[in-house]
Amino acid sequence: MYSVLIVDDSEIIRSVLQRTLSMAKIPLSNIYHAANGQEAVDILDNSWIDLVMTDLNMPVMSGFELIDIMYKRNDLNLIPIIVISTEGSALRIDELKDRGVKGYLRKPFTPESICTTLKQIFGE
Amino acid sequence: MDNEEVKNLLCGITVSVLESAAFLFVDEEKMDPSGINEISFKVARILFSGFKEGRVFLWMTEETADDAARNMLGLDDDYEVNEKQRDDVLMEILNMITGNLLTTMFGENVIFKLSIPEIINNEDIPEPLPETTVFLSIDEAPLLVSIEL
Repeated sequence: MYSVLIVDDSEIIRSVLQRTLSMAKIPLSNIYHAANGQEAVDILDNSWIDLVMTDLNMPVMSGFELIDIMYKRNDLNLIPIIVISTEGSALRIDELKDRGVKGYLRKPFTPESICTTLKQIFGE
Repeated sequence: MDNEEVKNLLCGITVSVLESAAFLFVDEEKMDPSGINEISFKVARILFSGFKEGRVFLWMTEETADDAARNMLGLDDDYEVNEKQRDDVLMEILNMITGNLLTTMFGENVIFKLSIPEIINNEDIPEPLPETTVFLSIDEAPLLVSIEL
């Protein structure tokens, strides 16, 4: 069973992702929500998380800052991260991959693209 | 890129984002802008900086925003969308349009910084409308989008 943390300042996007996860036939124990990077760090400090799905452009603490914190912390840097964002710069995407990001999906995403990426990380 | 080329790109990306993210099907017959001032819109704005600086605006009626929210959340037609959800969907759609537009216009090898989208009041709405404004409609409700570079 997997615990997933969804980080996006849009409540609607978090709900859409939660619904997609529920349909993806991946065994899930918990789905946590955070509206920005700081809330995500707080959850990561207090809960077991197997996967982080994060937006980049968020108030308070961006997804870039969250990824940077996770990369630098030994207790967090093995958790796979999928970025789901409108960011289209190849330079930025390469930078994120260098920081350990395992998957990148461009908004608007399709449920199929989410499922494919999840299966690549968790296996079939 | 001249204004007509920008408008064509903006139109195509807006149609694509609304269809794929919110299952809203846009009438690509560009609407007549006369009488637009009589219509009540919610307006969202996002700023971008980096390779170029500018702003993108999205005008949407409350009814269209409600339809978009219900579609994205998979809710029934009689679900009552609240103000927060309405604003959220408008800002998120604008965010998607802007990210995709900037990549299409300027390529993947440049970096932009986007602001957090915001809902704006009448005094912050550009007057007159930018020359790049695209007039579209969804179920006969108007929808406007524009970019200022």
